Amino acid sequence: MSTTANAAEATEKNEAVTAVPTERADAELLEANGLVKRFPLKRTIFDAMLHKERKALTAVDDVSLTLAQGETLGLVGESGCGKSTLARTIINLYRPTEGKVVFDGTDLASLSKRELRERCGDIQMIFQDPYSSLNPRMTVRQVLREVLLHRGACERDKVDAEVMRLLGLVGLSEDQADRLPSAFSGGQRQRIGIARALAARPKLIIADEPVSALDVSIQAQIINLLIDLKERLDLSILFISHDLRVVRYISDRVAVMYLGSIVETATTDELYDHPLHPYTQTLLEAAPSMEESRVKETKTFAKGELPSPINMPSGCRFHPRCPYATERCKTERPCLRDAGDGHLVACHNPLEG
Amino acid sequence: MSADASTAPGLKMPEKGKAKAKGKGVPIWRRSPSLVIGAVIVLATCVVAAFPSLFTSQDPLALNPKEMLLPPSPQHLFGTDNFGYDVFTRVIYATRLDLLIGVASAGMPFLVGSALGLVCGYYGGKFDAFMMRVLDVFMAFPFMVLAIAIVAILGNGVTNLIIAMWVVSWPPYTRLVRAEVLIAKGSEYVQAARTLGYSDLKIMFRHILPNVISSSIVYLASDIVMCIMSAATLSFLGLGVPSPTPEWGAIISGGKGFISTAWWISALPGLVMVVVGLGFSLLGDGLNDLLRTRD
Repeated sequence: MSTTANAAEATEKNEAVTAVPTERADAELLEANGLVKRFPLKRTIFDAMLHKERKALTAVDDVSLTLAQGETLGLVGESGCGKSTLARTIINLYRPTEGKVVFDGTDLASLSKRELRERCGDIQMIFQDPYSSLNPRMTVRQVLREVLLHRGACERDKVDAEVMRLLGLVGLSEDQADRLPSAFSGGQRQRIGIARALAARPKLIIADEPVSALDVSIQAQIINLLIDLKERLDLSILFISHDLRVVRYISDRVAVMYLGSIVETATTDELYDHPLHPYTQTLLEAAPSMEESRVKETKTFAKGELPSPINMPSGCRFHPRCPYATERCKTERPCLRDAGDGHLVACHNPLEG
Repeated sequence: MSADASTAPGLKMPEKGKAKAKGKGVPIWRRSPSLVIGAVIVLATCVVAAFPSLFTSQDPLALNPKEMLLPPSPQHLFGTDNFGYDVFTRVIYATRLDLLIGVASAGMPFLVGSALGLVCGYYGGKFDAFMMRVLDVFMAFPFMVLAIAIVAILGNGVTNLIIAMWVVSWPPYTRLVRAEVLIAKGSEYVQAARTLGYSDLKIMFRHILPNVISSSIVYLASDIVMCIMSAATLSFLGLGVPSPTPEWGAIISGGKGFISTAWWISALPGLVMVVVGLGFSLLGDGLNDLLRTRD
């Protein structure tokens, strides 16, 4: 694509973006619209006296994404780009600063605290750290019973049978039910975490780096378990990871996140074969591979470090590191626009597919 | 004696870890010897407090001018004081009162202080900030000075003594629990509980409290000692239990004028206090071993 573009073209692109979600809105299970999450920073007394503006850390910066029923959406990005904050905002652990989350046709922000609590189980989360995600003083049975009874998922006298069924689903044996988390390994704990999420009968599971704390051999088991459960229980999954290989393996569609924004979204094969955003390309090239030679051309590698989310770069958030940055990138922030077949990219000068 | 107490559990640590790895079936005196020793001393103290007449046949309030300032002997194990009271009998009968003072004055701050710490840590915000400043005010006063001031205002007596203890000893519980709640609140199991839609009360009491209360319980054991000692100190200063009610601090105080001629009046009751204090400390230490999360 050429680097010269006029204002008319830009507005055209903006329209193209807004048109995309409305077209498929009815099939979507989850729809995030313009989500922003800012964390205000503490202001020193001197700053307050000087009437300096209160600074904020923008962790999620105008993110819109959709997730269809039965789909697995992978969310990749380097550490600190806001993936986990986005997940926690979607699941309402954080209140979004701006924007809204529509789940199954309901705007979550419009619900009262009580209604929200009742609907909570519909979205469940699998956490990153299997060691801190389980209450160390509750046995597996107690954890699962509590969820089942709270959600009213089954009758009281059938709870124990249901606990056993859940343990079977995640590949744990029945005699492990009365053990405390300390008796389990990391992989087993992650299975308990999955069982806890499943006990709430969710429609959507947000898996926040569920395997990055595990050994590689265990990673495969957990990933395969998730894929298997998704098929069997008709789940949708938002899978967050910084590991591109894992994401490719599990996802139907992938969204790439950079400094709080989504820069590219496409079906998995399309994204891995024809990355359009320079950042995506950088990520893909930086990933170590078994087949190819480790020595690669490094001309497209991004320079430098992730900028501070307190002082965001102007224009395109990626321009200070982008090898293809132009004057326009420094001033105008690109929107996500369709580059064909639902391949969305936020770049003024996308790479040739 | 106290040096032995502090090193013994430390030396046992590796052995205990190995035993735990092997699983259950390890006798408790191997896992935590200090817990067993502490529990035995505390239990014995409780028995003495409950049935003082089993341990001595004499009357703690029986004046016997003929037998003043007698040294320890089979008839008077701890000797007699300047009124001819049998010191051993008075120490035995004082156990109930001192134990009561210790438990009563530490128990209420434990409950209230811990609950306050839980609420402050969990909800945070303005209430928390306000309570922490109140707590700073209480902690700014030296413990004893504040207790003396309160007793001086309210007047002598066991009840007032306990009230004074309540007022001065809650802040450490709040601090301890609040700090632990702040850590637990950010942990993923609490976030998981939130995503499951549990109520705040359920998250606080079922998920956070069991994981944060152990340090508070351990502190309680040593605080009971502190309260007994403080009560004895106040009595020693003449601000606690009015005479002639037997009370350890009062007994020790009564002997201070005769320390060069009749050392036993002060020294032997003092020794009893040390042993009881050690018992509670060991119990706290052992509880710490036992309650600590096994990760």
